[in-house]
Amino acid sequence: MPVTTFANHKGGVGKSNEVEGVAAELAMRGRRVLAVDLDPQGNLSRRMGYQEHELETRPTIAEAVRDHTPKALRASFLPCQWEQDWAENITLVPSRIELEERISEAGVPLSWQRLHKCLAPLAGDFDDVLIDTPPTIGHLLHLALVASDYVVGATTPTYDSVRGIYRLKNFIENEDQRAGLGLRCRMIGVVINMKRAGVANHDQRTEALITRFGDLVWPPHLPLRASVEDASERAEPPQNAGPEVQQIFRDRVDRYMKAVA
Amino acid sequence: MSGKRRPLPDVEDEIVLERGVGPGAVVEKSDAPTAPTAPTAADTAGVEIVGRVVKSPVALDIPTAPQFELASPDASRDAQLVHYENLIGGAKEAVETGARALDRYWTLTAGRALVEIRDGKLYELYGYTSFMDYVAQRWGMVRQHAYKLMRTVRVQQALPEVTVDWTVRQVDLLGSVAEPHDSAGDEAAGDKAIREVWAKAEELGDTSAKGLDAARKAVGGEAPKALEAVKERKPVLPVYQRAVKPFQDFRRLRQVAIENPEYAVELIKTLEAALNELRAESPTP
Ligand SMILES: Nc1ncnc2c1ncn2[C@@H]1O[C@H](COP(=O)(O)OP(=O)(O)O)[C@@H](O)[C@H]1O
Ligand SMILES: [Mg+2]
Repeated sequence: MPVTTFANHKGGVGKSNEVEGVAAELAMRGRRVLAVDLDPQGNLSRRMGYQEHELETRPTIAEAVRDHTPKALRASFLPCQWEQDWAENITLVPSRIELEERISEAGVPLSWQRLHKCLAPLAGDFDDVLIDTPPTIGHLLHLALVASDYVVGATTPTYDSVRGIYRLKNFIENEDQRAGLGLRCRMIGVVINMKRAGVANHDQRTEALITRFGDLVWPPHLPLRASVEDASERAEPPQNAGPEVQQIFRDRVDRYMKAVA
Repeated sequence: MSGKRRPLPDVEDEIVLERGVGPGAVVEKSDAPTAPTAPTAADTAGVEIVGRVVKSPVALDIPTAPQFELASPDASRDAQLVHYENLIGGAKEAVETGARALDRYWTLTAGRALVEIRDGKLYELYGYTSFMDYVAQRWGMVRQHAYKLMRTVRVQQALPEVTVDWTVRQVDLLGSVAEPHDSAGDEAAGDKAIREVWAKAEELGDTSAKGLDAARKAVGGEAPKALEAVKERKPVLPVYQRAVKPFQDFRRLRQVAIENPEYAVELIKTLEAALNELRAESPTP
């Protein structure tokens, strides 16, 4: 059961969008996907069909990490509410703002293993686990990384966002961090999102990423499309933006499958 | 999303849920989930109360645990004294700041709510015909207190940057300056009148009630009307002096109860209400 974290220290770069697109394509291929919303903002939860008030009386990732048992994680499982074809094989672990409270546990020894403790015993129940993370490089990201086998960096072709990816890679590869947190994950991809054609900066940043990461950059890049944003507003998968986006996620998932094989 | 929603699984065990973040956080128990419904306005925006959205109680920083610490045993006697006096000074300041903050909180919260209830005549929903009856019976507030709250709100609206501890007489004076404009429906002019008097008083170096009155005269404002602008200008005292006579003859008064018990009950209510009103307006003995 490969566990993959989607991350960037920078916000608004399409992390959640990527998790949605990859989840939808994997589910379409018949794989059982667990999508974990590890962002207190709960964007992924909202886009998979759950407003914050609907989660008021239900356990979420915050309780699961607090109790750090697979049972607690299971108690939070919800069906994705997209159209059947996309959603059927997707299970959501939703998030609410209370996840912020887990950050205060960062100093507790081994607290960074708490998501891993929830997830590891579920091996076999899912074919893929995708973790959507908040724009931080702190405790919540550590929870995700410790639980993960793989990491995908999501970025826009802009300076600050690309820097976020460099920092992420350095963090994951830093020997002290790996030993201190007990990381086993490695970077398997960088996806470029919201690229605009004919914008010199965007082309330069894309080149720089390819120079630095080579093969790790997964083509094709996802262009900036109003239809993608519309889909997310309507709480639909990005694939509803049309055949172009569907093809992009098919290609990306091909790369993903190769990497986790 | 389209069509029917996929059903949500039941939550099997009761799970302790922490809701909210920071000092306002609460702990709840998970419910058996109900079918999801479209969000109502209250779901997404909090509870709507007469035009204002009240989300959650304001978090005021009130220390809950004492902060006492013994002075270090090997400190000199001088140092010990300094240490303990610092504790007293700090606590005193905390209490005073807290009291001011609480007073402001109370005024600007309860006062504003009272204004809305009065202006919207919302007290009628309970069957009260007078706002002051409502305030007295629902909240056990003497009329003057409610009145001060509302006047302070009015003054605060005109002088949001001023954070003094208002006295009744100050807010009454400033409020009365705005009154003619307010009752003509021109609150902006009321604000302006209040600001003008306040600025003058500051200029003259005295913002006490007395100073404000002098400032009002200096800017040529009208003389303030008494509390709650007594509409009836004719002296009413003789009326009451005549009316109270028969009440002083207790024997005959008791006979009322024998002649007509129901009327006696009515009379008791009337007298009690009158008593409350009179007390509220009278200087405390
Ligand atoms: N390719 C795209 N074109 C247009 N809008 C996009 C695209 N990808 C994402 N968005 C929108 O941009 C916003 C940020 O994306 P999101 O996936 O939430 O980023 P993150 O999770 O990194 O904060 C969202 O409103 C999303 O719908
Ligand atoms: Mg996100």
